[in-house]
Order: sequence, then C-alpha cells, then structure tokens
Amino acid sequence: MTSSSMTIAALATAPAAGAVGILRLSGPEALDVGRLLAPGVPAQPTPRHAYLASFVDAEGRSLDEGLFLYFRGPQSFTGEDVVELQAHGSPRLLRLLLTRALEDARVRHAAPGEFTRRAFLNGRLDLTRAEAVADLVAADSEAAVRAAAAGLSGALASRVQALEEPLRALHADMEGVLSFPDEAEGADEDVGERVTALRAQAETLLAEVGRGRLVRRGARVALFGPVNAGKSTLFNRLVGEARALVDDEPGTTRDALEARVEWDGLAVTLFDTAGLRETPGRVEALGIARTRALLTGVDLAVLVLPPGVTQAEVEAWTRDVGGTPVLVVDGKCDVAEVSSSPRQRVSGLTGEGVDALRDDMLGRLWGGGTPSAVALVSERHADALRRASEALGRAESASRVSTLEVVSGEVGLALEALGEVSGTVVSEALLDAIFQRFCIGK
Amino acid sequence: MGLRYDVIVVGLGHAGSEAALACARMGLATLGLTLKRERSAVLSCNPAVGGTAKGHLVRELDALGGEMGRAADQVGTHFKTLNASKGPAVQASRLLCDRDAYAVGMQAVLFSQPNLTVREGEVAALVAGGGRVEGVVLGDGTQVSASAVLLTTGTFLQALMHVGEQKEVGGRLGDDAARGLSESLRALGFTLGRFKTGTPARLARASIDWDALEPQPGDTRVRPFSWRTKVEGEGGMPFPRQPSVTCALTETTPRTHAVLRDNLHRSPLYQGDIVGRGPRYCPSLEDKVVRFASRERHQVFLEPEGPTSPLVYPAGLSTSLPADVQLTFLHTIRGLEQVEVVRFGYAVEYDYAPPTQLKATLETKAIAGLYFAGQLNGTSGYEEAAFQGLWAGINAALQLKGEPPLLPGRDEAHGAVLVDDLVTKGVDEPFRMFTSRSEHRLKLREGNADLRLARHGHRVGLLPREALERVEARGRAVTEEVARLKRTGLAARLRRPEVTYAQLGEGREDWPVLSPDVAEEVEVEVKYEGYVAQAARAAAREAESTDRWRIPEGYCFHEVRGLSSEAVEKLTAHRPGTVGQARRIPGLTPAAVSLLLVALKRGTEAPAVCAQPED
Repeated sequence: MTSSSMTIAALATAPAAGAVGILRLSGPEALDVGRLLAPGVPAQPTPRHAYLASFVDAEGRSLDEGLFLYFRGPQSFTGEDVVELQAHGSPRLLRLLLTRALEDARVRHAAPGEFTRRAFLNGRLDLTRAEAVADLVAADSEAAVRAAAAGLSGALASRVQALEEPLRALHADMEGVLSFPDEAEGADEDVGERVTALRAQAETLLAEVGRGRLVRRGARVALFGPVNAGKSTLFNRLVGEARALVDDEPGTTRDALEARVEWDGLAVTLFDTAGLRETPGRVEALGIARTRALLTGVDLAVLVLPPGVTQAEVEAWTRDVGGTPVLVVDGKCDVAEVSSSPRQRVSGLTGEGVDALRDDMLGRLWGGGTPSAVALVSERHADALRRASEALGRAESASRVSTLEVVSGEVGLALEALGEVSGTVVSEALLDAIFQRFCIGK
Repeated sequence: MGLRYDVIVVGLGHAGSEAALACARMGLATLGLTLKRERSAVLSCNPAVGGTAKGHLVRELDALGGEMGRAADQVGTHFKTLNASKGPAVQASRLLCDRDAYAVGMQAVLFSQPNLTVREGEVAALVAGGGRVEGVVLGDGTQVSASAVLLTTGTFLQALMHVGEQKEVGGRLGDDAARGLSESLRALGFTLGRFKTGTPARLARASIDWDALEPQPGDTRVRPFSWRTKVEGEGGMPFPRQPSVTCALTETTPRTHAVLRDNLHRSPLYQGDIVGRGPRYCPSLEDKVVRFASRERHQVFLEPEGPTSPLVYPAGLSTSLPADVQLTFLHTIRGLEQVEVVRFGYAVEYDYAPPTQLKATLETKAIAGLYFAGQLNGTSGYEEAAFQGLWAGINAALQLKGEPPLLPGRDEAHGAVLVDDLVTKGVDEPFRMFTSRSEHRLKLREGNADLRLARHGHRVGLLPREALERVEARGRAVTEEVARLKRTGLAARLRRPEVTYAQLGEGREDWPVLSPDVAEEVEVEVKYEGYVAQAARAAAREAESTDRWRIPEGYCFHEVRGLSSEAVEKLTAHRPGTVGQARRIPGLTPAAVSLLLVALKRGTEAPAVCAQPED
C-alpha cells in the first residue's frame, strides 16, 4: 500500500486556455507541497476554506494570484489530503506550477484516472460514479463531458431504476405464482404483454447506450459512391478546409482521407473514400477494398451520387455497406439538371444543401434522441444493459412458446444484469417484493 | 466412566431422524436422544410433506438415501402436483399424510435400525475440550461421550408458547422445552437468536359443515417420492397405500377480520410479548389482516389429518390470539359456524443459532465434531430440516470414517443451495426454501433428482448398488434418445412449443419403446436445452468473476483499504471463503465487494488477465 500513498499531482483541468486552471495534489504531503507554491497560506489552513494566495516560483517571485483550497482526508474527493491551486487558466503558468510541484521528491505525476482510482479505493465513490469520472477525464467533446457529468450525478441510476422497478414487480408476480400457487393465483395473467412493454423500454435505453458510445468515442461517418460524384468537394466543404485532392479525373481519391470535426458538441471523424468502380485498376483496387472494409465499420455512410443514376444502381451501391445505415444524397446539384428525385440535393462546390445535410447526418447519428439524455457512460454498463435487453428478448419469445418458469428465469437474468449497474442484489429484492405483493401463509 | 458412542444425535424430529439413520446406516454406533420416544418424527404443524421447492428437497433427500420420502409415501392420503402447467422445473409434489401414521411409521424405522439406540433424555450440557466436542451430560447427570454430536433441537431451545395472554414453557403443545442447552451453547461461544413460528387451531372434523364447502380432491395421477416405493410398485404393491381424503376450500369474511381487529390488543404479537421474528411467508391471520387491510377474504384450506382422523388442519389460520377470540372468529367462516376446537392455535418462540457459525458440512466452525441441523439453524419446514439432518449426518459419519466430505454444488441440488445460503448468507427470518433461490433452477427438477444425486448417495453407502444401477440405466436411456433425436433432426421439431415427444413418435414403427419417466426426461431435456445453457452461461460468468477468487483463511479484512467498518464487520462475521460467497452476503454493497477483489488481486500473484495496474 505504500506506493499508493505517495503524493500525486496533476492539472485537473484541460491544458487549454480557459478562465481558471486547477492544479490538484493528493496524498500525505499535499499540504506541505502546496504551501511551497503558496507560502502565504497558514501552516494549518481551515479545511474547505478558499484562501486568496500568491503563487510563487523557486526564487519566491510571484507568478500569479489565485485560490488555495485544502481538503483534509478523508473528507476529500480522493479520501486523502487534497490541495487545489486555482490559477488563471494560462496553460504555461499552470505547467510552471506543476513542474515546481514535481520537483519535490515526495511528489510524482498522477497516472491517468489515478485521483478517481484513489477515491474509489478509499471508498469515496461507488463503481458507477468512479467510471463516470474516468470517462470525464478521457472525454474530448462537449457531449462526452455532459454525458459523463450526467453519469456522475446518478442519472444513469435513475434511468435503470425506472426499468428495474416494473421489472422487479413482474418478476415478483411470476415467482409469487411459482412459489405460492394458491395465494398468488392469477398474478401471471398478463405476463406476455408486460414483458413486451418492458422489453421495448429496455431497447430504448439500449439505443441510448449506442448514442452513449457515440459520445464517448465520437461518431464515424464515411462518404462513398461512384467516382467523380463530388465526394471530395463535399468532404472539404464539410470539414471546412481543403483536405482532399480534388480533380475531375475519375478515381482521384485512392485511399480514405479522414478529418475530425466537432458538430453540436459531437466529435465526428469524417472519411472521404475512394470512388467505387466496376473495373478498377490495381492501385485503385487496394483503395476500394479498404473502402468496403471502412464502410461496414462506420456509424453512418453517406452515398453521394452523380447526376443521372438509376434506382437499380442506387440499390447496388447501398448493398456495399453491410449493415451500416446509409444516407443518400445527390452530389453536384450545381451541374445536374433539375430532377424529380426525392433525394437530398447538395453541392460541395457552391455549399448548397450542406448545412441541411449536416443536420440530417447528426439526426441519423443520434437516432432521434438527444445527447443530453445519454446517461450510460461506461462499456461495462453498456454490456450489462445489452445482456438485460437480450434476456428480455428471450423472455418475450418464451412467453409465447415456453413456460412461466422460463419467462421468469429470463426476467431474473435481465434483473441481474441491471443489478450490475444499480448494485441491487436480485435474490434479496425478489423475496421482499413477493412478500409485499402477496398475502401468504398457512 | 460413562457411556460411549461414535455419534450422539440430540432431538429426533425430522432433522434428527435423518441424521441418526444416516450415521447408523453408515456403520457408526449412534445414540438418538429425544425428550419423548413416542413424539419422535411428529409432523407438528401441517400434515403435508412436499410443496414448491420442498418436493424437490424430498426427492433429493431420497436420492441420497434419506428416509422422509419413503415415510411420506407410505401414509399419503391426498396427492397434488403443483405448477403442473408452469414448467417442469417448478413442478412440485405435495402430499397430505395421515399425521399419526407418519410418526408411527418413522418411529418403527428408527427403533428397529441396527447401530441406533434411541433413548429418552434431556441434554443439560455439551462437553467440549480443546476445540473438540467430547460428548453430552444428560439431565440426570449421566455422561455420554462421543466423537461427534449433532444438535437437531428444532423449536425446543428456551421455547415459550403463547396462546393469547397465556405463556407456557414448551417447544410444542404438550411437550417440554430444552433449557440447559442454550446456556451451554453460549458458554461455548455461540451466538443465539430468537425466532417465532405459529400453528392454527385443530378442528373437530365432525363439527364442520362439509356440504357447504367446495371440495378439493387430490390428483388422480399420483407418483411416489421414493425410488423404493417405485420398486415396490413394480413388484405389485399398490400405490397409494392409504384411502384418499378430500379437502375443502373456504375463506375468511369481513366479519372474521372485524373480530381480529377488535382483539388485536389481546394478541401477544401486537402487545410486544413476542420478540422473535416470524416468517413472512407464514404469517398469523392477525398479521395478514393488519398487513393486507384492504383484502376482504383470505383462503382457508381444510385438510383432514388422515382418513380416519377426527382432526382437521385449517391451513391459513395460524394465530396466537386467546382461545375465546379464536373460537369467535372461526365461527364467522363458512362451514365452520358450529365448529369445535380440539386444540387452539399458538405461537412458539425459540432460540436458533445463526447458521453463519457453521462450515459447509454443517459442522460448527468453533467446535470440531459438533454439528447443527434443522430449525436450530433458523430454517422452517419439515423438508428443509430433514435435508439438513441428512447432510450433517452424512458428513459427520464421513469425517469419523476419515473420508472426504459430501458437498454437492449449488448446480447439483436445491438442498446444496439451502445449505450454502444458510452458512454464507445467514438468516433474518425463518428460512424456507424457494426454487427462486437457485440460479440453476431449470437444471434442478424433481424429475431428475435421482440422476443428479444417486451417485453421491451410493458413494457414502446409503444407496444400494441396484438402486444406482437403475438410475444409471435411466440416465443412459435418456442420453441415447436425446442423441438420436439430434442425429435425426427430430430434436428441432420437438423444440417447437406445440410438439410433444409422444406426438413425435405417432405412427412410426421404428420408434423406441421408452418408459414414461425416460420419455418425460427426454422431452424436457430437448425443449429446455437452450434455456438451461443460457442460465449456465450467466452463472458461469458470475462465478468466473468472483467465485474463483479465494479468500485465504484468517484473512484480515481490516487491511482492505476503503472498506466501511460495517462491511469489515459483516465480512469478519461471515468469513466467506471466496469473493463469490462474499458477494452473496446480505447488505454488503457491490462497491465493498469490488474493494475486496482489488485487495485480493494486489495481494496475490494474480494471473495476467486480472493484473491491476501498479501505481
């Protein structure tokens, strides 16, 4: 345990210009080291009190004025002694302060997520919240930060609970019937409908998990379509700078280009792919194979069509992407004749329809939901919820083709999976629920 | 120099009878002590054996070589298969016994068992030295020494009966209590708790207006609990052996509830006279009326206590109200307007020993050779008691014989779930078995209890070779037929909900001739295969993540960083052997379990997949 009680230091805010930057120290020497940087603070500062202090360099020259906060363990985020120096958010100044702290032999730089891990190990955070904080640390878009914060405040727990409670009531009704056939007779009457409704609810939550995943690692969107449909021009327009080599010669883009953008707080990686042709040359063929692989792995594929394609061709193109959702647009609407096509029209060259396309893409990515509703913040939770949803799917089909004990067993598995998120122990909760719902006795 | 036996069994109720028979049959000189010989193996509450999850226990006990199933078969008068349409794993047999005949039959077995001496006597104290049990001292001062002592004292420790304002010392109406033993257990360092249970009045059969009530006949298709009964049936012995009885259904009325509410102040429960916690699944009628105030009626099953018995057990009317109130409320129930009461209902409070003080064999952790089984461990129910008695008896005998213990896994028997839940989770109300307690329910059916457990029964010497061979032959027939169905693609058809095994073979000449108990098992195995596999995967994932993390004996939970003092206390009290067991401790938070896991991973040479990043 000695290694983990070493004092650690790190910047608690992103190393970018902001209004306030925070240097955080945690461990037995936090106060000592903090006072080296802010010697004006009393030797025994009042915990949780903000001191206006002057931060100094090794020669004692003032670097900045800021706030000094001391939290005495275990009443702190990590459960250890914690000191926070809040300085004006110049990255250079903060780095200077950090370097000074690290010059002390008793201090080392914190590993990623280490403050959280210490908090968890010291019993200051439950697992749900610890994971949310870890996501917050790694978050690199605004939506991800919001989602992590939502997890932190227990929004996840309440969403899961909203599913768990009716599910537990259903489970208790079924197990009541199975354990007390006389007293609970009839409580299983509408099991089929109840399972169906709860399954739908679980699927909704699971869809949001998909969005949660989108938030965590960003969305991946690829443009594809026949050669010379105007993909690269559109790509450049979407990215906002000239990235792809654009030429009127078919097949100019031989490999996927990528660019990262942030749209409405969502991190999006945009890919511009090589055009797909029926008879490609060798060099191109390599690019085309990669394109196909890429298309099956993205969250959304945008099929950009040149003027004059037939419906059969559109369908053939769409088959190339596997299960990935496809958005179809007419590119180069600037040169195409006015057509009766119901498809969205867009031109990378003039910018016509580009904003509408971006909104459409975002709409498809979120699947109709809003990013603020995303509460599921860790892969572990996503996995647990997926298992819950699968079990409910089996329960639903069992309610048609099998026996009550199977339906109830699957509902029990779903509850167990949800319990991994909420921390409820199913077997204990079940008996409580049965005895609350049924009057049982000899 | 006093008497000497290998094993002493204290108390000959359902746990004690199984324990004593098992030890004697496994070749050990066994002494069975009881307060009254003729009260051995009495069904002291309802006359039924079996029921949901309990029927499973009886069949498992029978497969291991226990006696209860056989004893019940002999005297069954009303048979019911519960949950017949709810699925094969929750299907359960319940039979009403001729109550007096049950005890007489079991006593005949006990009293004629070679190696078993049954003697009347109260145990005043246990004798132990150096952490080992040495024997007992009887009430008359006699010392009896033994290498193992099994306590199966039921509700008799410091027992106090309540009928309204009256209190009487005793473990059962007409029987005395065991007094000295509680002190002796405390002196040895055991913790004791207090539970209560209750029983309804017994009604005079002739005074009930049966014609006014809905009759409840038993099932016509009946099957015995015991393989021995089955063998005898094949030899021509008829089954059932007793004439059948018909029960009747009635219900309480708003008037009944009014009488109860008006007299709550006379109930020892609501006066605070009873401090012990009672079972929620078996509340008294006054409890039901208070807790489910909006209900206008509660069902009452009238169960005759035997074909010729003058007594009727009214299931659903357990009470500890004074006699005059009992009579008044009984008269408000249809069919019971003129009823006469032979014995009034009462509640009994008794000491139990929290079972977390036991090892998986039911031997106490503190005193080697001392075993606890049955209601003493905080359980309720004849079947739960009997199973524990058999489990403790077998393991005590194996230990004395220097053989490895018999510890089937949670995926092998409901009885194993019962014991594991008791010793790892403990109890906070009298513990009844439910099939939902098992994560492997679909595998643990009444119909395959013998296939699961017969080899264990044979290994310890309680199940004869012929019996094991019968089971193995059936198992082979099932396996072969399932394999054939899969080979021929018929299994896929059988999985369809509307297809039965019998239909599958209709009109086919090449169809194998299988006995019904083989065909049934084939059908269930094929139809349930996917679900069983699903449940097994879930259980395996659970076990994978926690069960394989062993907690070293004597592990110091104080050293685990971040554990709340409450969690440390719980862990120290339960002493779980694995993280999986720790996870099942009630009230221990998932975060505490994670902390424990992290601490263990750090403290051991962990396999690569579990490595925790170093600081």
